Amino acid sequence: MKRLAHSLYAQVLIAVLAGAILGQLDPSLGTAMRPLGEGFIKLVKMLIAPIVFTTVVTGIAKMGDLRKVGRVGLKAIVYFEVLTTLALAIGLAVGKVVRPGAGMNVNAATLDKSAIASYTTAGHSMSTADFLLNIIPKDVVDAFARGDILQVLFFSVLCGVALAALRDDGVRLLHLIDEFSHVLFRIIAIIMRVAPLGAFGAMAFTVGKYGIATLLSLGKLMAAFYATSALFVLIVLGGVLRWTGLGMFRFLRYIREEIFIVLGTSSSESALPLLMSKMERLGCSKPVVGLVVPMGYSFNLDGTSIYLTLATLFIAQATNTPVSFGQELEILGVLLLTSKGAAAVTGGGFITLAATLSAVGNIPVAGLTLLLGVDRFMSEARAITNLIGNGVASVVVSKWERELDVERARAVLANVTAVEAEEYAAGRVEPDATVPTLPPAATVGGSSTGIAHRP
Amino acid sequence: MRRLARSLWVQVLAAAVLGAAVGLFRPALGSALQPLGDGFIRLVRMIIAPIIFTTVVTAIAKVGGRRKLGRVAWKAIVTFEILTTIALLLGVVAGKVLAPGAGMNVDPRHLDARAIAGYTTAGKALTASEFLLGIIPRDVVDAFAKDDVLQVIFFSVLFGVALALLRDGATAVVAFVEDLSALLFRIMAMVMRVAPLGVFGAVAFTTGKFGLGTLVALGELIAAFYLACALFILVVLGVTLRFAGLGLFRFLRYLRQEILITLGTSSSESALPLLMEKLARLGCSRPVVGFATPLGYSFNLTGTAIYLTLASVFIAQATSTPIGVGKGLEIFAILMVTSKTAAAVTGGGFIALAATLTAVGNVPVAGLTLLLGIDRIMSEARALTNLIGNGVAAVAVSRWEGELDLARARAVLSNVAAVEAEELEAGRIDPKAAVPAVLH
Repeated sequence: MKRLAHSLYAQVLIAVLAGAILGQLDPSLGTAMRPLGEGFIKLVKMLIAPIVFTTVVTGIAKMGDLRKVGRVGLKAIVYFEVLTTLALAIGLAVGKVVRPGAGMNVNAATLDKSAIASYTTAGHSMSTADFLLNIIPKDVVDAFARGDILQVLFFSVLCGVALAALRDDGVRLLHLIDEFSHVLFRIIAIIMRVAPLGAFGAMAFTVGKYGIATLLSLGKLMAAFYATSALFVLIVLGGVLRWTGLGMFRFLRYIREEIFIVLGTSSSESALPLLMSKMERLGCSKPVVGLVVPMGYSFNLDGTSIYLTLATLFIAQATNTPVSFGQELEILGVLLLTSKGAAAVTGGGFITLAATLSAVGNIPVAGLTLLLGVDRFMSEARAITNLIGNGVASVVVSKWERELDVERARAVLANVTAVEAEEYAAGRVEPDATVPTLPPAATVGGSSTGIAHRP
Repeated sequence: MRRLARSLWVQVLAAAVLGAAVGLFRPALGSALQPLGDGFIRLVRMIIAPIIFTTVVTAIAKVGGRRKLGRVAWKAIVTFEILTTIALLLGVVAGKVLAPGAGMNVDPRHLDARAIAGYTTAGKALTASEFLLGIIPRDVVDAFAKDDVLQVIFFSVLFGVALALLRDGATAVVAFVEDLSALLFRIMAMVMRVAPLGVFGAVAFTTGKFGLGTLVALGELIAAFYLACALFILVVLGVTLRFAGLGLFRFLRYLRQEILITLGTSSSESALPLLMEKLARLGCSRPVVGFATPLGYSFNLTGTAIYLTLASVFIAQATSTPIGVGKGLEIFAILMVTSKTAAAVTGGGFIALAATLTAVGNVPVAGLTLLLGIDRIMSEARALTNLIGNGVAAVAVSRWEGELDLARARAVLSNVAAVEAEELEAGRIDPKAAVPAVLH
């Protein structure tokens, strides 16, 4: 019992349940809990850019080889393309077979378009060249200030390679960045103390605001999406993971904390730092994790991909718009591009959907209004699938690079509670910890910090 | 031959020629290559602010003593004033003598003023006190995020002076800034690897978009401007350099990489980090290079100065607006001020021009539209003159401070190829570089 109370995942799970119950019993009080959830997400997000920077720089400086960075990046992109294409195709197939929107007979002309106006205008998305240019920061500090992950990632890769090339001249700086990384992850550990509170607030808000009843109104769509996501995780991702020699259920158990936090906050970013350190602990190589996870958060959104095709077909069916096979292929083709561009814009999925519908032409964009109410619930499954997909991606790319320590990974997966307990102890903030005393001036910069510091 | 192919300036030159060919023969394809050029400029600009910071701070921290810093700053500003004043005068003279706008008889009421509305409204903005206040950052991090060079210099000077005053009390910080500087210049060396690609795209875009047709239309103005710039570089800068004891042609040969990159991208900023390294290598004193050169990018824009007066005179002539000697002096006096504040605003030169014409009164601001089409071509010569002017100014100030290692400078100038080869070696990213020991 005491061990349970000490484990983060149990606390978060209980908080999620409590939040759902509160939201159901007292919707207005539940809705008022929103700031708790938002606050927690903000706490994590404020650190994501520097965490990506320090992880990627130290990881790449360790790799020390520009060619290898390129190879890992390329492998990651190939893997992302294959998986997201598969996810898009599966969403399309399920939409065709299950027909979640059939028989709704919605007249698109009567829908209130003002609610989705902001999405449709933002949907006129940018060209490929603009998108690529935008990966280069206008100014480095600006990239960090705006928390633009792709720009930060780009600069971090340059920094890491440059540091590796500086060799001994870069040692001091690398040392500093490494220590900085420890500080940031320690801050994350402190923040995770309030994860249950955040998950509670966000869940209470979701249920209070939208209610379990909305679930029923579009029940068939919800059921289709949740089932597809579950099958995707178990069969597709499970199959890929089996190739690396690991089992899906143990893997899911290993990242249960992250899953519950994402479930509670319905934001997959809120678990990004935790996921990165967990994947490293599992035995994935650090540079691979540093590159794959942040990139995956932009390019490997499996859950979002399933949702995009499924929702497109749903709207067509609900508004009785006939979709030919050729058009289905067109939807797939358009989404292959737009779903990648979504990363650069906030509000991601919905804007992409609007852009796609406009591009395809005959499916009424106004149909998006049907989805507004359930978007929050959809986003739970979306975020969890995205999270698991990115975890699996780090394992796969590590394995592909022959840098996965399978023995270690198996041992870790077989011993999840021990790892969690150790993590918990490491992240514990002792209120009465002794104040660190500064070493005498002569030893500053020496090897007193624990990391080997060779001349 | 192999060494030639490996040297950056040869690659850049080849890229520029190739870009021009693409732009001339396939204009549509050429214009579509704009992102390559823009991407390269973005790559450089993304770390300009931190590079200026680390350079200025290390320069000042090493100077020791505020008196010396004050002296360098004062000498730099005097040099800048002299050079830009001569440049402004040269522009007026070139405009009067060559009269590039005479006989065009443009009716300003027929010009579409909307195209320049953005410049004219911005042109009214800055008073002198606003300009000075604007140099103080609202917030330090914000200054870096907005890429505001003057604000960054201001903070860097304060930071450097504080470090110098602390002496041994902040050696860790000085070491950190030096490490950071090494890192940033290493990144810059990597970025320069793609300079040929950027130059190719930018040149293809310029020729593809604007073509030779525009060159002919305002040919006289362009010729007048290029002539004035050439004259300024050869005579004014040449004489200045001679005073310092060096020859201009050798100096230009030494800067050929920077010159070609500037020409290709028509942005003098894209060569700023390279220029600073080259000047230090030449034997200019560290504080001068680290402090005066970034400052010169705001206050020593000699090419822009020539352009401003010449363009004002051109617009007056083209719209048949009579300007006597009095009006000419007035334009000159106003530009003495506005050309300095231009640096604080993006889109610099054009806004300064709009502000000046508004202030003078009788020259129609709408005349600016005549210049829009050729601005990119003018900006090539502008950026080039600015670049060389800043290089010469750094040499002159170093000499004035008695800190120019003349023997070394002469040796370096007579041995450009060897210096370039060494630079290439240092900047090379070894793909199999040993992993730094710290992380093992």
